[in-house]
Amino acid sequence: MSAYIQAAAQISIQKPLSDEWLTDPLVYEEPFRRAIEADYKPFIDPVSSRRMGKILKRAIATAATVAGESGISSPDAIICGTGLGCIENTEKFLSAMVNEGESFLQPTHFINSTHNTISSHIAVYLKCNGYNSTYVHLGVSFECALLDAFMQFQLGRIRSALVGGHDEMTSDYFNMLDRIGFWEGKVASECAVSFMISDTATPASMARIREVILLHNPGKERIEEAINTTCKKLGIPRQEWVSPPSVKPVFGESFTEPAYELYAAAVRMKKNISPDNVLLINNHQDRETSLIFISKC
Amino acid sequence: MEELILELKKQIIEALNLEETTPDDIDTNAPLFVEGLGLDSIDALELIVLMEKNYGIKLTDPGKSKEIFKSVATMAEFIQANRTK
Repeated sequence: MSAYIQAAAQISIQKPLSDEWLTDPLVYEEPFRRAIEADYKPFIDPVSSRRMGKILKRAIATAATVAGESGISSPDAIICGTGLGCIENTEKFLSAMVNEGESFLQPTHFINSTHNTISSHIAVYLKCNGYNSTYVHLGVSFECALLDAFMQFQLGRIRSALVGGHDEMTSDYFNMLDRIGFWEGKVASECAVSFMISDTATPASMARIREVILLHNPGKERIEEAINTTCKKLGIPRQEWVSPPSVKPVFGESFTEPAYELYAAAVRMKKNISPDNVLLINNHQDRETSLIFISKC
Repeated sequence: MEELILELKKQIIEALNLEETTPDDIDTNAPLFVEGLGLDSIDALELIVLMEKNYGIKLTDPGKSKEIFKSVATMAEFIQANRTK
């Protein structure tokens, strides 16, 4: 069983909703950079927009883009992953509570602080009543969402899924993590990537997802074992699977950054500037490891 | 009064996240709800918080809310008459 990426869109520190990063990437020197916002007017009316934090606007803009590009306006499932959820409004809400007591809490900040509402906001926007879930598992949040979708494709429960990885990063949160050396040698940023995936290949398909594996506390041996077992299962020798250089220097780091790795690999496959078989490996703090096997269509 | 009206408009824009609205865009005498700015019940809560936080006014009679929040002008009049800070 396979699943096919039909469309993918990003908002990041590169030009939003564009693949210009491939030929003309923006380069940053600073250790923390927030995403470049897209023009949200074509996607969200101003009345709805003011009740949404940045993470929700980006999620809806990327979701609407892939829905439009793929022609799948109402997917069977909407599944997203987020490491921190709506952290910006959570901070606003909690800061007000700390600084001013509980008397002056703003309802909009509270509404927007709910961390696991990304998929449901997209569903309301797309008027989609199907399966809906938002995973919040720090560094493997996106892979949890992708794995959920992939398993449901395997079970034949869905024929299309909108899968996303979304994260905000605020100055305060950046500074807190910076104090414990979390960002050493990294460029901190945010994430907004949506994929439209279906069970049927089309001429527009970007890449074929062959397998998604999540391992908890695996150790090197178990990772190698999982890779070798999958290679055998797929009938493609280990040496034909290439792990490309990370796109972290291009898109920056966030808890859902692996979504950019899949996005970049899919874009390159579509443009025929990639090996035929790509293995994406994410190792989050030596605790959680994800393996994503994708091939050219 | 003019100064208070301008200050109030700025606070409304910030509290209600009206990103693309400027104080000049808000008609001082236009209805705030349904017509005019087209505010809703969550906005009403935001305005109640705004009045208490910035002017020390706690609304005790919900029946008066409709009159107070009719427009920026009526809000400013009420604030001027009842503010404690």
